[in-house]
Amino acid sequence: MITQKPLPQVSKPYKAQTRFLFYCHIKIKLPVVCHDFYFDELFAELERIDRLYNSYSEDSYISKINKNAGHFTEVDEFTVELLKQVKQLSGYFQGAYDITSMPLLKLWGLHGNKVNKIPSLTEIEASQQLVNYKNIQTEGNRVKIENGQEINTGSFLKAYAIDVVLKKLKNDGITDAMINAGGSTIFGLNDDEHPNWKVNVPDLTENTDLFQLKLKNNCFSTSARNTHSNIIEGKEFGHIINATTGSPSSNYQVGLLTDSCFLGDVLATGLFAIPSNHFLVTLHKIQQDFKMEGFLINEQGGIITSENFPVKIDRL
Amino acid sequence: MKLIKQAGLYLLGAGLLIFGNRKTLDGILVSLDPPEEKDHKKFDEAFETQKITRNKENKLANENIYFQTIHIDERDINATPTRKTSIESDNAETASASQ
Repeated sequence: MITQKPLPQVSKPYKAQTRFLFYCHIKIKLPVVCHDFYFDELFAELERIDRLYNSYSEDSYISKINKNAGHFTEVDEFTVELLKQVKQLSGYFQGAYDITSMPLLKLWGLHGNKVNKIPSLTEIEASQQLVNYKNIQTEGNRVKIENGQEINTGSFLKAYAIDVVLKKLKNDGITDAMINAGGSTIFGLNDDEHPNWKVNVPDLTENTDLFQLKLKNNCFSTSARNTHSNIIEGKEFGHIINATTGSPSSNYQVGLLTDSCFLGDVLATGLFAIPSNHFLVTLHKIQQDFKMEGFLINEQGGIITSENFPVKIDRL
Repeated sequence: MKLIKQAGLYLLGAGLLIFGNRKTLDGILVSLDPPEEKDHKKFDEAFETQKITRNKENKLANENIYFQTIHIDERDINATPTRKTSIESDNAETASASQ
């Protein structure tokens, strides 16, 4: 049973544009008074970050670090700051969330490759030798990873880019806007005239509606296994690896409300990666440092929510 | 009495003919007060006139070289997609997993 108060109906026109970046559709909604050219400025910022910092972009700083593994690589301050922040947040998950998990992703067929056999413990342990975010070293504007290591920006760069765009919007005096990055990162920027943006949250494994949330200058991040499930030897596996076990997490879905998209995406992925019985303990630990609320749907379909999550869900 | 009625109708018909037709009325007014003739020649001097004639192949041609179209590049104008802006309300977005 789901209980929530009815939401007020608000109708106001907005201009919207959707473009494909970071392997997803990113939609930006702005007040109608904004010129169409303003969308170009905002998307240009996203494209710039995609080109310069995405591990999947050929000439990005992260690609250069990966190609030059074992040696220091000259990068810019942004790259250093980005990696520093990810490393700091990774500390909440005791190694379960690790941006150097690429060898494990490849082992489980989660990097565009197909595997027909569930990896053996020996294979998993061999891959785990190359996985450790703590081996990312920085010296001034130089970054080094160990031989065979690879940084993957898939879990955080898109959200970081959205935060950069949000900063630009605020600097330009925009107080009412919405950015939806592939459905997994949705930020609502609000003012007194338009106090909330709404987000429908479905149960992605059962494809049913769960509840509707109201955003107010915050972000809703989702990590779930619906679209990227991987079937090996007839068994279904998710796409987010718990680097501590070396296997895909068995959780179904995590949703988080945070003040920043970057924080939301990293923490949603991390909380998805850990075992479901660690969810509340880890979440409480993070709440000592950051304002956030969230829920998790575990393998059994049970829903666990944080104490002050705005929607009360009774389905265990 | 009959004569008066006929005369009345005649005058009404003549009145409608003159004043009910705008063209006729304008024509009368113009003839009463003819406008000054514009100096078209002076006006045309400010512009260069060019003569377009048909050539031997019966195609229209302009001998003035700076009117000729010169192709410096071949480009498909449909190749660059235009960014579509739509007008939407503040309808609820739907969360999903794109990673």
